[in-house]
Amino acid sequence: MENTCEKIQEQIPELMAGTMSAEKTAKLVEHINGCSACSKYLEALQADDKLLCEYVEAMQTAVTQIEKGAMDALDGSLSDKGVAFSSIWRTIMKSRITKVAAAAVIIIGVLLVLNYVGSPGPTGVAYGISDVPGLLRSAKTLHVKGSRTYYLKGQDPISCPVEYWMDFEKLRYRRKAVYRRRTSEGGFADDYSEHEVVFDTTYKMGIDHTNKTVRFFRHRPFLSQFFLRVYRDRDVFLRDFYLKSDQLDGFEKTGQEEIDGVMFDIWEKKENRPMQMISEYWIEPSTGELGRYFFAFFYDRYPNRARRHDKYGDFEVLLDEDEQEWHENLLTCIERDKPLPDELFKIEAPSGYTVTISKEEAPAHGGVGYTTFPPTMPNMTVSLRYTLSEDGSVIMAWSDRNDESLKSQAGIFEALEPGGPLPELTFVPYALHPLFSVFREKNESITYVGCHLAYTKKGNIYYEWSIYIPDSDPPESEFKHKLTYDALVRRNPDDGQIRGLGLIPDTIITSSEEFDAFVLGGMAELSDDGKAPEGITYESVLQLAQQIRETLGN
Amino acid sequence: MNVDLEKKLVAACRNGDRSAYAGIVKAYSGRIFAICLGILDNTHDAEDIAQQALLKALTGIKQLRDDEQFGAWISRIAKNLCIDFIRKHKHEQDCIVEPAAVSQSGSKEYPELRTALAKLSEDHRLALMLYYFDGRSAKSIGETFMISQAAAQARISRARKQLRKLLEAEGGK
Repeated sequence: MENTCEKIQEQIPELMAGTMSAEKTAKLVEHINGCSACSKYLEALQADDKLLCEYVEAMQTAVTQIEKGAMDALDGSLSDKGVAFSSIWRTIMKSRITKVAAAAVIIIGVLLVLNYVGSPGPTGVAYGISDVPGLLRSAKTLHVKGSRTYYLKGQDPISCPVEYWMDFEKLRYRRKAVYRRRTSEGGFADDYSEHEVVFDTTYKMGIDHTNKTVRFFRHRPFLSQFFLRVYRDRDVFLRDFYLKSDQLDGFEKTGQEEIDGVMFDIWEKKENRPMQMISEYWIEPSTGELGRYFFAFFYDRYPNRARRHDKYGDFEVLLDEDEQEWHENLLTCIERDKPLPDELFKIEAPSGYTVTISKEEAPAHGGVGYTTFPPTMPNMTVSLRYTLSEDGSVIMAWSDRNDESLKSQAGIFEALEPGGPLPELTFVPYALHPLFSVFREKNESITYVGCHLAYTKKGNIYYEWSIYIPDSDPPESEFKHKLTYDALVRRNPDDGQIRGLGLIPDTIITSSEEFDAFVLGGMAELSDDGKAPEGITYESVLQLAQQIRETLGN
Repeated sequence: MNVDLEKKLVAACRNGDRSAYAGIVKAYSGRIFAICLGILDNTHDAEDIAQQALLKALTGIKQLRDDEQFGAWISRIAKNLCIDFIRKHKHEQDCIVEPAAVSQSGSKEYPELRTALAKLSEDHRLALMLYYFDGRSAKSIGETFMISQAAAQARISRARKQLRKLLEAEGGK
């Protein structure tokens, strides 16, 4: 009943908006009429609605002022271009922004009009850095090409070319990259290796160009959708390129540059804390096209060791005295929404290559992003992990494949309650600690407490879906994108030892649509019946997390 | 405003038609103010930046390549101006102790609502402002956030739910 009410209440705003189908409306109304909790919630929302309407109505004076101010300024501009400038100037000077900074804005505005009167140059700045997150995420296809260059003390720079093709509509992907192996001493080995990965919704193909070998894996639409997303969020190159809307602060337009006859605005951000980095985007202001992308990251791994200040252009960075290291990512070709030919995604071994695993023998994934615990915790696996951007909670699907344990798991899982204790399997990852060094410095005491959320079963394997709730303020949103954790694992029965397990969330969930696609999609993927457990929604999980947080004393 | 009329107005603006300018200003001032209010959370600054955004869009209207995209285009201009404004005034804001929504003038009206709005995330506040200034339509949310109408409706639902919680916590209705 509670779950039904939650679902109904989630839909009440849509009901009030009048955008719901007649059939759905009738169902909802029928429930509300017979449910006092939901009818109270409807009344409360109606009261909020009224309040918001009154508030907006009271703001109409401000809107009228804006209209008048804008028209006064434009009138001047229409009647006489010369008068226009003084009119705009007068209007602005009347406003509260009459400081030096504002004057600079207005001078730019005047120059805009001057340019407009003269030649229609690229002056009407519409697209800026704040559009980049939306433009990249709304792209149906993306093709980028560039390189990643590593700089290490005492070695020549190492440049590795990369190229990606991503088709988000047809769920296809291709990546070509050259790698250099790191040696145990921290340097780079001399040998290069060139790899390519191609997948569609039926197969994934790995090509090793160095050894001229090919192997195939079976794929499914969920896996393709999931991996496209994981590569976007976690790939060492793309995760920084796919700028997040909460990383915009600090960007400045620093100049313009012509690339192949097109003038681009250069937007730049230089940051010393929490990470040392430079990020630059070349944006064509009237179309939003990206002409180039540059990113430099300076490593500062050991805050307790001797470090020295270094100059990178006019940017001062702090580098380790012994291991001065940084890398640069450069994209010189960025194409959004250009049709990608089918040829690119052909799942066929190139001629002359040895097929080590054929399509016929291709294994399917044994549980989506399947990783095993360390050898000290045999048969334990992690399948999926997500961070919810709304509150920083982490969701993880894990399982115990120990034959003995599997025999008794049915009873264990059936007795679990959402928000209650985790299943007592052979090992229990009962909490998480964030590993990100800068974050750890600031929040040493934060612990993510694990609770049961749901379980699914596929074949003879039970998958536990646990939710981990931070016991104090969750990390700043910017950290969440790169956060890694140490899962604290204890044995059952407890032998007094805490074991560690490195954990990197696969992706960040930012909306209910993404929750449905990736979390519920993952649950369905790891279920015999291809369905997620009933009653789990984005809202209900956030609500459960909030309830748990309250019990933790936040 | 329907799409055809808007297209005609935008085309007329290119030719300097005053009545067309007036039509566009009238049609968009509420939405642009809502965007600025949603991001800046301060009525006076929102007024100033909204006015600048309208001027910038209309004096630069020849740069717009697709007349049907005027709504999305002017929304972007407003958002970018707000971000510039925040960046330039960041230090100033850091020094403000009181939440902006209760320290500004006019706070005597709707104090609980203003406080709750100030506590919402920027995305939720912006979505709510757009929704109510645009006659309870999800269209401007879709254009501003570059998301589908369904996603815009979902965002509104979440924002309203969050606002309800905050109003309840304020001890309000």
